[in-house]
Amino acid sequence: MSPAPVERRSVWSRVALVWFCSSTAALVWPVYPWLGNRVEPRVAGLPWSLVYVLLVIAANFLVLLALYGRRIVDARELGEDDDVRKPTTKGTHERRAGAEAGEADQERDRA
Amino acid sequence: MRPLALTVVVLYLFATVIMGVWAGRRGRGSAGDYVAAERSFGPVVMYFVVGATIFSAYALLGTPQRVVARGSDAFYVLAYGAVGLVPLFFFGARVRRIGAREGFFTQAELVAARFESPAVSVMMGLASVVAFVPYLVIQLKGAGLVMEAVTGWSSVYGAAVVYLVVLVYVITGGVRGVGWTNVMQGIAMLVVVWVLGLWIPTALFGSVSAMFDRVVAQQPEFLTLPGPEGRTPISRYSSEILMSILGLSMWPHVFMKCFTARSARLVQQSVVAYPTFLFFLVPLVLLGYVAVLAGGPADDTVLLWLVDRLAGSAWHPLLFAFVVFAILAASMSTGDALLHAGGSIWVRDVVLPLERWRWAKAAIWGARRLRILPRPERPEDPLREDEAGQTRAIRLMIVLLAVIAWVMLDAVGGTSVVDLLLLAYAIPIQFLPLVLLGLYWPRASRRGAEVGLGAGLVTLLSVFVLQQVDPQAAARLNPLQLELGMIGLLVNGVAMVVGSLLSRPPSSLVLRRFELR
Repeated sequence: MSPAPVERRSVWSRVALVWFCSSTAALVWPVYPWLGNRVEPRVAGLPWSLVYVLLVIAANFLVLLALYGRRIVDARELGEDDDVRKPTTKGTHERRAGAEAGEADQERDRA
Repeated sequence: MRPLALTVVVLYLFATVIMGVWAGRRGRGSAGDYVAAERSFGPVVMYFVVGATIFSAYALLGTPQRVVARGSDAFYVLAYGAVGLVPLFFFGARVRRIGAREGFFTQAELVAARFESPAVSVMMGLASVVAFVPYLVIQLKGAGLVMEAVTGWSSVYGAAVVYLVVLVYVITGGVRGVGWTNVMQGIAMLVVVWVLGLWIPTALFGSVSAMFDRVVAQQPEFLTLPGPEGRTPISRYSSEILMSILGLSMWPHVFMKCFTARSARLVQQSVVAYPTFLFFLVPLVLLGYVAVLAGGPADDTVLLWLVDRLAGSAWHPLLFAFVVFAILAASMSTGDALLHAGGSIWVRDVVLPLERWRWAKAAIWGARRLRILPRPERPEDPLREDEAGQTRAIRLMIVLLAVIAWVMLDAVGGTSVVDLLLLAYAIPIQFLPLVLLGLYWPRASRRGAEVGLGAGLVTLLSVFVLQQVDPQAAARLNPLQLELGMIGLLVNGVAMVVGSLLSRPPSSLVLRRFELR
């Protein structure tokens, strides 16, 4: 699947956030006692209280799969131009130098 | 003594050592490789690392136990798992990218660099290790329980034998050892638990559906909240789910796996695939209901007790060996990740930022003189520049952590650890404002982060101590019965926002490095 354009991705990314907040709400008070906390109807013998939670998991799985396939949520890889530091301890050392440079930068910003 | 189970245990322990050591030999042996496997984990290893690390002995032994004790309250593990890793889907790619660009291997390294604060690194590192110890004791307890059932030894010695094996492959193999053994352990757990979860209800009741018919007829209160004797009010169930959702992706050993993935996409892929691991809890729930009908014990021996219901069957020894295998796999796959992350965090997040201090320098100098740490080519080299020294220090810390957890298991038998677990689960949630505001709010500043985290951790500790010393006073001060972690999170979040707004904003260079500009 090809990725969606950037502006559409941003909108869908927000929609996805709303979806996951709603699915969280579906699992707790007051929605769960209202819709999920009962024995009937039973599905394949399992009580509805369990099936309901499994359905939320399945729905979230499908939504995540779609978000992943369409590259809707930020999935950018480190670009070829970026400086990928090898996993050495020097990374931390260089960061400190970067932080010092940052302070100088900040001084300039204030000026 | 159970000969077949013992044979399986011995073969399994040998196999994990061989696999762990073999995996470790694939790397370069540097500190970065030891901690993050040179960011090389592919889809299979990432899938099992994330899944098997989260599914601990606590999940395996605790889920059926929870069904017996509290009925459908046990579904909470499934419920929080449905959303728990989703935050990682949203920020995981960015974390992986920044980590690769900046050379980060731990959660605190990333956060401390964003806020330019070694103090944040040290606080996070110390808090993480405090959270890990009781969690580790629970894993040791699971291993000990199994070894006691198989060999008849005391569980303390049984746990020691299992964790000696874990130490061998974690020390020699690093995160590669952890990753590849997690693959084997994950497959074992998934297969065994599904086989048992379908087999035992069918053997005893004819089918899963028939089993639930009997639960509905005889003990329907176990199928809905508030459960038997109203033990789980919906408010408590809801708050536990919310807290777990907020905290799951903040556990340092889970978060760190973003740095081990081969690509940003792979981090997201692991989150997408996670529910397949989550479904592994369903058979454990089924087994819990078997125990409800059969009058099983409401403690962590319930799984082994259930298998013994089939005593006399020709398949019983094999089933028992299967269960033992799965429990050991669950215990070891979480325990190894905790040990490895704990050692790495202690050295990289606590020792390295404090290295400038005179006493820390003296301690490192002394350790080198005594050959506890290797001597670097240039004696004046700091530990930060000494890869071999760091790797050795991490290994030593891993051993120390294992010994502390084992001594705690011996001293308290694992019972008082439940109280400590309350504190342990509340700690990772305190990292949430740092991570989310740090990654998405450009105004979040160093002072805000230090004040927020400090206030959150102090609140957490004070409330915890008060709850232990004077529970009535703690209840009066907390009329809404908020969870420990939630109280800390509220104080932490407010302090961080106010502190950030009142202090100097971060420099534009830092914002660029963290993709905020």
